[in-house]
Amino acid sequence: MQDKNVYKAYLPMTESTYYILLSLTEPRHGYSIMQHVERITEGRLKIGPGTMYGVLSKMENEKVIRIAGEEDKRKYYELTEVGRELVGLEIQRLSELYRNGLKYGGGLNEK
Amino acid sequence: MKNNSNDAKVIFRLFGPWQDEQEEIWLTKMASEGYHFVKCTKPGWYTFIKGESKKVKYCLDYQASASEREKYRQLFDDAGWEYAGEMNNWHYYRKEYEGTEAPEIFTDNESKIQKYKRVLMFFSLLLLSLGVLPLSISLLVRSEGLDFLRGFLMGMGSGITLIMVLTMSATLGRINQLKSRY
Repeated sequence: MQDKNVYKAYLPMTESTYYILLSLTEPRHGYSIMQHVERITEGRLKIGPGTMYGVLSKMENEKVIRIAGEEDKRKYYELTEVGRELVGLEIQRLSELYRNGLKYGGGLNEK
Repeated sequence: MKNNSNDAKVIFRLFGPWQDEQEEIWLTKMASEGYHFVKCTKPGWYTFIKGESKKVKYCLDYQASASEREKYRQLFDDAGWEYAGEMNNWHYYRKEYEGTEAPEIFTDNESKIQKYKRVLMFFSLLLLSLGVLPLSISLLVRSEGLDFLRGFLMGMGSGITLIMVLTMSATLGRINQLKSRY
């Protein structure tokens, strides 16, 4: 088992962290993550390259992601085992929030 | 070929490391008036070239290490940011607007705080090497006949210490402002 600190630091996740990690279920380089996140959130969430670079370096240091390869000077990243586990835990947490919202929200979401 | 002097404009302007966003706004406004930033010949001296008015967003990053900048260069290129130049470790980037929303290189508070922490790191080195060190030497050297040197070190050391402490406090203030926005 990984050091407990990484769970504490990553859970619950900020929206950008969640979407960046979610993009790395397959190998992608920085710009491709930015595009992917913007596409799947329909343009709502934009990540700038300065922020992207900082987050990738930090996640790589913390061994949540790793370098999968390099092509044309672009580094491709992917999730490590710890990263995969974190994303799984976060999806479960978000599902609970969502289910309870529907169950106890009194239909507020439909207004 | 040399530019016609009517087409170029040189402006002197200084800014503190906590004021980089005002700097971005200024350069963005200059571009909308048709003055496009070319380079800084010396710290504070900006050269602009007159052209068409453009909706371009300028953004600044602080990096004291050239190798660090090299590492993210490809990412900035891919994202459509053009490198416009450097001054005192500030790196200038620009990108044309696509729509009404201003493009940004830093999109969360955390990465902005990290940028100011890089400033603080570099300024602490300056404070120690150009401020505290000469000041301590001037206080420790006791031998006669070195009065001129002692006076010089004391003047330089205390002046730089004062400037650095003020600059760093203002930058820390900016960090706290960003932290309170969470």
